[in-house]
Amino acid sequence: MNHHHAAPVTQTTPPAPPLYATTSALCYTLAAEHAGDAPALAAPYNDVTALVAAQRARLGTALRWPLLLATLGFALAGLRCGDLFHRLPPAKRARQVAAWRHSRLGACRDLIRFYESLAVLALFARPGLVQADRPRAA
Amino acid sequence: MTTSNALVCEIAVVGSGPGGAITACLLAEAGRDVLLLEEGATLPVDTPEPYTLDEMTAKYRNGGLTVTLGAPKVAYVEGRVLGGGSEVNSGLYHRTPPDVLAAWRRDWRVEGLSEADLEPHFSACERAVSVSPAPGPPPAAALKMREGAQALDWASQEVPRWYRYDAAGAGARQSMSATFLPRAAAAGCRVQSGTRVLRLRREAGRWRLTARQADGTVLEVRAAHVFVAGGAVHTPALLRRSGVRRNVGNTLSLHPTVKVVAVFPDAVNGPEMGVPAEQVKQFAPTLSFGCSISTPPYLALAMTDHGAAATARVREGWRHMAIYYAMTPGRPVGRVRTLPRLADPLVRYPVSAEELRHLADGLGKLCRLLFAAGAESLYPSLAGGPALTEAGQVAALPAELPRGRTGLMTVHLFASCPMGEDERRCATDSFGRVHGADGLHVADASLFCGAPGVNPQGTVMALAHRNALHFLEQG
Repeated sequence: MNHHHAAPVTQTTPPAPPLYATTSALCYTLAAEHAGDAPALAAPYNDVTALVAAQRARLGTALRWPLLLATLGFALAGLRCGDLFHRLPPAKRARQVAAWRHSRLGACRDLIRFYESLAVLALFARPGLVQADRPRAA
Repeated sequence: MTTSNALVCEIAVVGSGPGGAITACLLAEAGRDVLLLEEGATLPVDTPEPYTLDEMTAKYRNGGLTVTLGAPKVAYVEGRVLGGGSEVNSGLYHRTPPDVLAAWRRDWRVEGLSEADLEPHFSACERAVSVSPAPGPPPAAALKMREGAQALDWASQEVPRWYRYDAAGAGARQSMSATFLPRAAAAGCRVQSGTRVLRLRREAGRWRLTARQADGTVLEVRAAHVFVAGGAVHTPALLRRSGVRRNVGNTLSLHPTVKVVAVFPDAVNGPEMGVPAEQVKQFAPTLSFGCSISTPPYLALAMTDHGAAATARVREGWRHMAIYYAMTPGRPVGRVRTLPRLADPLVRYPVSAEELRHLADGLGKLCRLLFAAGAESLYPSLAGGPALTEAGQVAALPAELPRGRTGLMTVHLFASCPMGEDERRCATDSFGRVHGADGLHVADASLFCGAPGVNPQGTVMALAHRNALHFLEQG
């Protein structure tokens, strides 16, 4: 499996539960958007996915369960494009993320905002970003 | 859960932030038998590294992901570690503004709250946590704020912090775990971290606290007096779970805050920058401006509203960028509620149209200041909003921040159990004793009667100091 398209899975890794697979695919899509061509921010994004999933687990119960339901809804929304979100090709994933990001429904926008915020935080917390950076020319 | 532990003490203090730590310290030093219970873990003040994701996950409640319900939502954070918020905040210090104290005395009938009344308590706390200005020049991002204010003829000031500096100018961050908590322990206070108090019950003239420890076992504590200092959200939550509901959790207030990322032609940021302590109070109390932590992750987070092209600027030039904020005092209209089987309370804060207008005004003024300081582009926290590249564009910002596109946050929450002698409106008396509940006290920012308009921990500390000494004087 291409690291740029989904969470890498080795033959010894058991299949990811659907929720984690959706989270991973969403994190890969969002991280790739914000990583650009910076080597320090390149895939794989297993670290990003792990942090996002861990932070989600820390949410208060009143927020966590609605978020999990919304995430499952997001996964199922992929069926309109032919399959569950994490099984869609990268271009279709990106289109679904963009559609939810600009949705008229606040809950859809909030879902993307939640995952995007955490994915960006995790991505830019990679130590390589600061170490690789040099002051830019004035 | 299984019951395996039971403790008896004269005074139980719930929560170890500035309110709880100072209360526990003073009572223990007076020879009282004190047990301090803290939900979070015991961790060194500089470990994990401050202002990192590791710190967020280790020392913040819910990993730093807490939000008020309402439109717009307000993201907020609370420390959950021995020492509470003092272990994770920037330590900026203000005394309570005199006009705020006057309003609390007048509107909420709070006694013993004049500047003269509080002076010895402010002074004692300032000495204990080493409130002092930083030696040497401020960080470049703070200087930009000062330059912009000077260009507009606005007042700007460096705010002192809780920092202890040596002769060479090297600083050591102060916090409760570095100051009042060691004093409390030395005076015999027992400290039990990793212990969440679930409810309080009055039984046979004493308080019975039921708590759950980190390993899942239940701890039962019996105490003659209880001081609750769990913060403006969890203090009312604990009281309401315990059946104490009169004027509790009905008046939460906060400082709604909007941010803007400024990009400068010259470098203003670096790994060593830390906390810029400059603030602009020209429009106080309605508006305050300041600088925020501006590490690459926080910068990228603040730029997310503007899309991948904006976060690309962080990748390529974060040293030229810094985060600034505009803050306004909220109103005491928020609600804290608990539901059966939910461990965390629901927090609702309805941001008013007036607050959104104040914030829009503040955002516009802040943008003017940053352009006057030489910023080449500005990114306000408005989803999908355009970046501003010249001062003339500031006038096109909305006159009222749009509810659906505005990202608000706060690190200041208070006033959920207001003090005062008016029992129709106040949860406690003027010194933190809960009305109608013998031996039950509140000792944190919940006691405020509204938003102070400045960093609140100076007020929290002075009130805790004053109230603990008042308790001792009462015998």
